[in-house]
Amino acid sequence: MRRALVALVLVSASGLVPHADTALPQFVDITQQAGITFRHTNGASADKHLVETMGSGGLFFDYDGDGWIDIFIVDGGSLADASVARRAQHRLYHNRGGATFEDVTERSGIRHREYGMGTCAGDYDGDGRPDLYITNDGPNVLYRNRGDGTFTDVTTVARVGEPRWSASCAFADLDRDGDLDLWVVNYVAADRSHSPFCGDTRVNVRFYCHPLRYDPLPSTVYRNEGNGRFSDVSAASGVGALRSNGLGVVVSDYDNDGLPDVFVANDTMPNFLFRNTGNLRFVETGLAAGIAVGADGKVRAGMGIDTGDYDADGRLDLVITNLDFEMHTVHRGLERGLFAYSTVESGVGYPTLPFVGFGVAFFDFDNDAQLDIAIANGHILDNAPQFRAGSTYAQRKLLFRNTTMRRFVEVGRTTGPAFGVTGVSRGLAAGDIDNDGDLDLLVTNNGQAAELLRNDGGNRANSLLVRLHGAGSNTDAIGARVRLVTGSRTQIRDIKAGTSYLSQNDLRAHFGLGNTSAAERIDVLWPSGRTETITNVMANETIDIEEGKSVVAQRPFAR
Amino acid sequence: MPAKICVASLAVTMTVWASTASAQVETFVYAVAQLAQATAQPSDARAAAIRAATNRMANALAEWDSGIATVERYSERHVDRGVAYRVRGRLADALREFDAAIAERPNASDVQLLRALTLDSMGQPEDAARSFAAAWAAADRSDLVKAYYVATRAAASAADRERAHAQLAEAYRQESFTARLPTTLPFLVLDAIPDNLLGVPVVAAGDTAHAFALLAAGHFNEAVVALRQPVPAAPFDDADTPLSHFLRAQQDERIGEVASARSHYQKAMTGALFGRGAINVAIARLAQVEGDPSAAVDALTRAVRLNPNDPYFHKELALAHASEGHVEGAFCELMAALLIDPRDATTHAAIGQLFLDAERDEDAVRAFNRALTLEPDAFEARYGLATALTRIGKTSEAREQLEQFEQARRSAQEQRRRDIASDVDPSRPTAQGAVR
Repeated sequence: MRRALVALVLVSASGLVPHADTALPQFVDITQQAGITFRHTNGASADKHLVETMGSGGLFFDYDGDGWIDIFIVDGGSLADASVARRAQHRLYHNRGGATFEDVTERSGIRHREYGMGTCAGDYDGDGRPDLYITNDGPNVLYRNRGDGTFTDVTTVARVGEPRWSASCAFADLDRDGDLDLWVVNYVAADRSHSPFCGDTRVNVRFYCHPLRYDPLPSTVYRNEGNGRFSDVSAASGVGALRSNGLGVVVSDYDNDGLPDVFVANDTMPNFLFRNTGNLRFVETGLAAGIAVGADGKVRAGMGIDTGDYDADGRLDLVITNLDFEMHTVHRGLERGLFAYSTVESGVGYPTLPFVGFGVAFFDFDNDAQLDIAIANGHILDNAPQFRAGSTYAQRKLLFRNTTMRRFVEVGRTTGPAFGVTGVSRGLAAGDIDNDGDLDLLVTNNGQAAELLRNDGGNRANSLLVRLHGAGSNTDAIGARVRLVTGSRTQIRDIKAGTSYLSQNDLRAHFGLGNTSAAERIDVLWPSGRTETITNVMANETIDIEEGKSVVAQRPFAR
Repeated sequence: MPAKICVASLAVTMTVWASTASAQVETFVYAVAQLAQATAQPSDARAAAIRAATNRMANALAEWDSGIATVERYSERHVDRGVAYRVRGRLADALREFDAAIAERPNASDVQLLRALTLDSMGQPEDAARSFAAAWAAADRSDLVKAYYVATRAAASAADRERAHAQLAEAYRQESFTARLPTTLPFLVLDAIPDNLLGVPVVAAGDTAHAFALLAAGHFNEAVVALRQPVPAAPFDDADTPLSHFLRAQQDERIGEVASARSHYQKAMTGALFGRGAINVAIARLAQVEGDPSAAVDALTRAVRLNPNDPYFHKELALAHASEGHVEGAFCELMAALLIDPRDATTHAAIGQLFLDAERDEDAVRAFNRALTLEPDAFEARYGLATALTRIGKTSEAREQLEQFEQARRSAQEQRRRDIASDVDPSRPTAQGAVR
């Protein structure tokens, strides 16, 4: 009986269901009309190098400071074929005012050097311009933003060329000295010149090897020395001794002690929570905190990760994407730095059962003042259906709408055809590309075109975009916490440079306000420790807050 | 293959029934099993095999009815007659006899239970709920089975359900019922044809669909008549038979068409003779993936009613209740699983997890400790215990549990790493590497 049941309950990702519910905002695929022509080079080969199926990511950042977020997308490459590798090209797209983007890669000076994975952006040198870090299967690269639309490779001088296989990265002022340090998550030690055989020679089938086939790697922690150089402090920080198959990272102060902590999603190994104890030292506390494994004590294949306070209790919650038949996990923040496994309780569990999740973001897509969740999915194995009944390679994206502050309902099939389209998705980033007050999405796909999904109708409800300007060299105030109060509801947003899977969101804090026409109060807890409060802020505008100077600019949304 | 007629909790004796009628039921059920196997025969032998099985069923029914006549002749006990009628599918006759028995002994708890189950089968949930409540009210305080029936019946009064749940909760707290293994299965099954008889679902093709539906509904004579009807001249629509829906559902599952698979399983149910519980589990899981948790609860409730003595179904229903935030409903189902097997560590661990999710951390500690007493290597429970201890501030005990957990987990991980490394050796190829 039990065996029969197992066969019966295998299910997989459902396909496109095109009908739309017009009551909800609709996501429209504007990739082509916006001029985003990027198509990922995965270099898929008969050798089945694992890296071929893992990338790549992308991000939103306003590299030229014009108030319109731009797009950077990482390309993969090829380990098996040099001619394919040469065709790979990262892409930088300049936002021309919300509707279209211009490919400015050529003149930007950004070049493809290694098999690309992920990216994060932060102003490491405090010149007011976001710089760009690219992770690779091979030496990583740091590009300094020169402020004239061009970037310079400063990897060698900055000493951040981690040579191993890196995945996600994040800039954060980990030691609270005012400048941005850098956290690089490394995946596994896979020989780039030779891929082990995993498969079945009897039926002449080969597939990508399980990550436990390889040796795990520790994260790399770079301390910013403030002179354009970084030091590798992985060992001294206590991080270097802990090896894992790291993929996703997000930096947030989960215990509200003023020090940024680091969550790392690990593939088939326990997730890490590095509690920052000060002076760039960390204690790994994932197991005790309750985020390392599932409620059943079993590890999951953690890929993407994000933090957000979805139940508005003032404590950070966590979402992690996993493999199919594992469920993507949700951990609800409790008191004393503990987390409850709320995967099923939240409604996220069962609907994610058939999906292999990667990119993920807490975001409020309908501006109802409750954090929703977007998830990009796609299998690792291009021949998955051959091995796993119910598995599909290309999978649709998921959109979980927060309905009761504790419970989500998956509404992806009713929010426009773009969410129903299947793809082999990896990276996902949220940002307001057209400054109209609702959050749009960038999705990167393995071996396929990227997707830019415009949110139409999210701004039927009110919202606010808050852009922070730090006083010190952390000019984007990465690590700041913004607390917005309307009536009895308090929302919090952390400014995070590096999240999801290989990706990064718009650095502006977006708050849905529902029908409320103004925020009663906005508190900013700056990375410096200073707190600033602004009262009575009207809805439907972007406000710039400069540390110590309150609101320095206000612009109504473009509609 | 004998039918299991579980009367363990009944104080009534059914001597006549046990000695004669149950053997006749077994003969009939065996013939039904042969019918199920006949439908899977190659086409040239299939019709003859179905005919032969139908004849055996008809003969068995005749003997069975003769046995019932003996009961009618020699037993003046309404209960014996009622049980005989109920198993035979004569629900109205059974109810009449149970009513008569209750008129003689109004406080006969077990007879009230028989009456309640019969009313349930007749689709009268409100009347059934009243009878369950009467059975429970007249029962011994230690009778947790009847408390379960009341606690899980939506038609029961809220006060009764609350008190019944409290009784189950108190019993779990005191742990008295776990001291010894039950010698018989706790839940009464009055259907002649057990759902799990063949271990796999058996679903009708077009020509047997009507008969299978009649058998599943307990209309045995009508089923025999239907099976003896000549196959209609007009061909069956092959795409619209229960079996074709079942096969389509399985295919849709494989390619990830969740909504379609669910719909086809529901259509297949109309002609499912065996394994309806399993199909309901599939429907439930698909409903959960589709974001329809209440439909999942409904399907699993049906599965439990069909297989009340299989703890697997109770545990699945408990999970479905828990996902809806119905802690009490989930607890009752887990208690049912424990009434069947009180020494199942995974059920105790599931109760621990339920309490943990409900932030009843002290209760969770107790449940996880029970699980670990029964199965010290259950690292799921070890992790749960550590989590609960952490939450209640017993940090040193929690640390100790986490260390033990982590040691076991690491050891398992290293073993897995070695297994995977050996799997990729081309001289010993397997497909395991694909499965994480």
